[in-house]
Amino acid sequence: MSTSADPDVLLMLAVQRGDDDAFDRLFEKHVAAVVRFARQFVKSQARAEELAQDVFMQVYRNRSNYRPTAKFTTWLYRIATNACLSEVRRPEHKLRVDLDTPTREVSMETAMLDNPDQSAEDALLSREAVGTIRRALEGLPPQQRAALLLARVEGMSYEEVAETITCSVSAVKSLIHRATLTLRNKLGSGGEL
Amino acid sequence: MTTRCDSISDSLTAWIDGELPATDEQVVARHVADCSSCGREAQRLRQAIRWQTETLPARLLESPVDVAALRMGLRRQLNATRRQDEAVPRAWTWFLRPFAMASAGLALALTVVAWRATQPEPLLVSLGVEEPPPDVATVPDKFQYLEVIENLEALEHFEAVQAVRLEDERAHLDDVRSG
Repeated sequence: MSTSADPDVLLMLAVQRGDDDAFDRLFEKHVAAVVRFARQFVKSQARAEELAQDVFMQVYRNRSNYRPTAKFTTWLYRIATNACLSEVRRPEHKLRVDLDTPTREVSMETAMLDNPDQSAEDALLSREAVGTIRRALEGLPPQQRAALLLARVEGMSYEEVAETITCSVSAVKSLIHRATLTLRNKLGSGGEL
Repeated sequence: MTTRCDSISDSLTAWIDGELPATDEQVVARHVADCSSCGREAQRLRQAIRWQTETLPARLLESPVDVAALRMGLRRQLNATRRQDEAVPRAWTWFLRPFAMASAGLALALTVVAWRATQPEPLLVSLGVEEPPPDVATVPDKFQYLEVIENLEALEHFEAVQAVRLEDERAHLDDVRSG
């Protein structure tokens, strides 16, 4: 897709011209995905939401520096990745991890709260599966994690991932290969989840 | 497994993802077709990648996000930022107001004049009209080289300067004056 055909690019150019509604639309469209991306780097939903808000604040503050040379999401996730990697590098991150890790046991009741339409057993299995996947992702070095999530969850090409995390395509190839192997070794091919 | 297998193995994920250049893609495809070990590894990787591509987004998208609450939070932050942005130029415009500038200049001038009024004028001190600063009397050590400092212009003709003791010079000057 050329950048001129990307509707998000048009919205971002409108934001540059001072259109706050366009910013609202970009926010509504992408904030949930940014929260979920950030959630894989921090241990609490609240912190992930704070990070996502910071990311959109940066988008707004840097609106005049935006150049439509790539897809909007490439620029957005570059900001998001930098914010997440900075968060992981902060010394208090480890402390925050320990404080935020939920201590309650996963019970049928708490599992059902997440999705009332599921049966209690399915909900519990689902929570356990998500927990297992999260732990496996947490075991990946942050840059591998970012590259893998951008490719497998956000559906970016290797070239877009390279642009987003600011490295070469061959480095991305290596990061995704190693992350894929590690996840396969930890989770198998997923049949058991 | 051969050295060739090792280098092919590093490219298997990119090959399955369809991210290799055409020439490399053909090389890997040929090798995987011929090498049973790499063929099996490619099969296992393909299965894992398919699972990751389908399951990761689905599982990680399960946690709900309250977009409306986030939007309200962001609006609060944006409004605070805008207020800050507006406050900065307002401060600068105050400084640029002519009346304010003139008042500030006048106040500065008055302060300087008032300060100078308390200090003795060097020219008037040398003429004996004004008293020297009190330090001259109270801390005479500070002014022991005053005479030398006053004759610093002699250094402009440094080659002509002779090392003469101050007492000898005074005696010489007295001789000259007495004729």
